[in-house]
Amino acid sequence: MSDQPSPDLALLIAACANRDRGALATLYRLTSAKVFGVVLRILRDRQAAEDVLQEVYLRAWQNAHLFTPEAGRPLTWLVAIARNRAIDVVRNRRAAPLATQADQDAADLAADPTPWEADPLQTDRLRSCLATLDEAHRDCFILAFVSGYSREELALRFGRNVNTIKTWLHRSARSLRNCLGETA
Amino acid sequence: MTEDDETRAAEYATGTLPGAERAELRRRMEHDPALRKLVQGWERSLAEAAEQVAAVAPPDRVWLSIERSLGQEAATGPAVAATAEIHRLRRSRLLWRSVAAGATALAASLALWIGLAPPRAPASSLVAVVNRSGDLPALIVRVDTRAGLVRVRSLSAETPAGHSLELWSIVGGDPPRSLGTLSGPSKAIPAADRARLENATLAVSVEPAGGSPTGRPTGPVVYSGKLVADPD
Repeated sequence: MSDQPSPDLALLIAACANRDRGALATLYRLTSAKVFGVVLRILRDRQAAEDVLQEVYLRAWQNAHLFTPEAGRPLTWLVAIARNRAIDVVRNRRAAPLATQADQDAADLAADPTPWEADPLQTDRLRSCLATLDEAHRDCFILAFVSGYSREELALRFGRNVNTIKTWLHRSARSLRNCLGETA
Repeated sequence: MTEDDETRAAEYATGTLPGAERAELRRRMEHDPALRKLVQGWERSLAEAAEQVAAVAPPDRVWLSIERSLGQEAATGPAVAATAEIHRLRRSRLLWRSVAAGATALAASLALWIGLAPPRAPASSLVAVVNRSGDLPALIVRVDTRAGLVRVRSLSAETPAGHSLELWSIVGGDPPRSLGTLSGPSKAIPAADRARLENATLAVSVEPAGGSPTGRPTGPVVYSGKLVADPD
């Protein structure tokens, strides 16, 4: 995707708003692996992730006319639709995420570069922004943001009450926003 | 916008706003542009972190299901959109004609163009109303495929200072082709492009003055519309 400049994705979305199915097919071809990665990481269940992926592109097709440059870059828009839908699904699911997977996620994110890919410059910037956070706050934020953990799950995992988790998350989100900047 | 909304927007974007508040915020966002902007601001600034997650190729069956769902939509609903578009076209043409009847020099020249165009074989004339969703038409674009001319009438398009608006055609997944900047009254279309324009999507992007330096759109898309055969 990094070789595909985003204005082209914006044009494809504009074409979707005009009911051009070929444009949706191309949009899917260019972005679905990224969106699937995001969704799969939150849901950790391939079947559920496939269902959500399908919903994301149907929703993008239906709401393409609502896409505006103010909503961010096209991929940001798609990923926001995907994350929001995946989080809805994960919240409605009864089973809690596996603790072992949680630990693995935290370890991955703290030390191992594999979960982050794509543009190395962006990744470096993100890493340096994440590095400014307190370690527990950072792991907590990443589990929430990337892996879709709820406040309650995080409270259990970090042995704190929900209000503390809430404060941590907000502090991390604000620091990251300031560090990454509006233009990201 | 309250402090609470700021906090809620951040939690929504993080993904940890609890179910009921999440649904409530989403409902409010539909009717509250300022709130929507607040949430989108958070989503945009945290996007970089979300987009770094490793890509995983989905199996082909997902796309096949999407295609199937679109097929069902075609059977039940989309005619509405197409009809609405034609209505919009007709309305804007009526508007256009009533302006033409007003006998200003400009209107007269437009009327001349409409009135004196020779009888056309199907699809030799295409028209698009180009707008931002929900806004008044920004441009009316007419393409005479026989003469190979595209004519652009600007109704409310605004060009940001120091920039040019550039018109693009897109067909399916092909790269956009420039139809030139929106400056002169009419432009010649390369012969190779004439046949492919029916049902093309037109988009207008903001480019550096004089047009895109790369031959591809480089700035935000501000308007779009679809070229259809002239309904007359």
